[in-house]
Amino acid sequence: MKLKDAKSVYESVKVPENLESRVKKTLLEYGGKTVRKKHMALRWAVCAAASVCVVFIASVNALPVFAHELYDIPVIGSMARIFTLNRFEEADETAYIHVEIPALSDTGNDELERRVNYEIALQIDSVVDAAKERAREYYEAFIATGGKKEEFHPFEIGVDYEVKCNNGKWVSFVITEYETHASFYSEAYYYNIDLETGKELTLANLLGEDYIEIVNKAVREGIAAREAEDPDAVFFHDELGFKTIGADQSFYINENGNPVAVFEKYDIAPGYMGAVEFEIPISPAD
Amino acid sequence: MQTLEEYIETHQEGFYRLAFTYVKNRDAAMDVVQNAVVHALTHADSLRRAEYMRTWFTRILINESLQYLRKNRRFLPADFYPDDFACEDRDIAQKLDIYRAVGRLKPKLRTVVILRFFEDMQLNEISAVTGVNLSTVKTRLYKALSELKAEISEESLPGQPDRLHILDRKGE
Repeated sequence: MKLKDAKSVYESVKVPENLESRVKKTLLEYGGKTVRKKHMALRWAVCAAASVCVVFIASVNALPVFAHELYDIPVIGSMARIFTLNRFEEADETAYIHVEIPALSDTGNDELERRVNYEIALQIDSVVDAAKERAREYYEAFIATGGKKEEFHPFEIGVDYEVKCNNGKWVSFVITEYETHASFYSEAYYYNIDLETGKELTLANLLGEDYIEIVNKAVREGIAAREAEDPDAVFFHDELGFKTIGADQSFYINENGNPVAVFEKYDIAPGYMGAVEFEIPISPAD
Repeated sequence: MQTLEEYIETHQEGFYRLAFTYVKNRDAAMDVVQNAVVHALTHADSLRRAEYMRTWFTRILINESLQYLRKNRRFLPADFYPDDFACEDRDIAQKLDIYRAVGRLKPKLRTVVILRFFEDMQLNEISAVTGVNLSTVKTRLYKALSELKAEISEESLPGQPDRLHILDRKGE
């Protein structure tokens, strides 16, 4: 008779069926405030011309690189292009990292491209560094608490992008960083660019000065419609629920040319809903 | 990195079993888990580093269990009901004896045994959870094992000294 036999008794303790609903309720009531904010509207640094590109290339290549190739694959056949400028993989005992770095080109506006591409490189650099640091800390804590090196599952860290809209007038794309370990975590960075002015597009540009009201209305209607058609769709309605967007609301532009407001996981709905999106049609009058 | 909410959602059954081993009653264990979750969510800022989430949460859960025991001692059962276990095993009676003996240990000793043998924690993790130093953890573990051994041996038939191999676990 061994003590570890008693462990099977411990593990056979019946868990009441209503535990899950009670925990979920408690999480809804008390949770949501502790999650770190996951969306950041990107602000372009006003940075000067030629030398920055050199810095960018150097910083990317300073990372130890296993596979290093210059890809030049056009994504959409219109004038401006978003292409994979660089792609690299890296692995050590703490993490496996896979990064695709997009770049903007063929806009006819060199200064814009430099500015955007430099900003992208800086962003990806700092995001990857932070993710590596987290993996390293986790690994060290694992070892420090008696874990064996060979038992550690490396983090999987990835950076990827997706072009949401490229209609000759606007370019909209999202860069996503994800980390997979015991759970999945991701963070998204949205880039919306007006190719004519060379500036970052705002919701005010797209929807007019009443944009907050317009977006709020679309979001409220969207929440109501989704809850009506799907009994599993649940949004927060108490003090955690959706109230209003702020000036830094994350959004992208979809292929219809409409802005889509994105709320990250936990922002306005329980975690299992994931990130939720609402398209805001631009009325013909605009 | 797993958020606190995700950690709680994925580990809630484990929380329940740990709490149950202290309070020995369904409703009481549910209350303890809920109290621990509320405490964790409202004190999330005291968790400095996410990788210590398990240690941190386990400490909260044990504190809530012990607090519940102190406040409700008179209303809680002295022993476990067999109905609370899903074991179909034929040897369940014998195994349950050991589990019950663990449940009779003093809280400080019980904690060390539960964490070491049921939660498979390393001694230094147990030290972090309980907030006492490593040598105290070892002392408590040793004391707990001796008490268990004595108790189980008394119950066992004479002439079967090998019945209990509590100390055969490799490691520390």
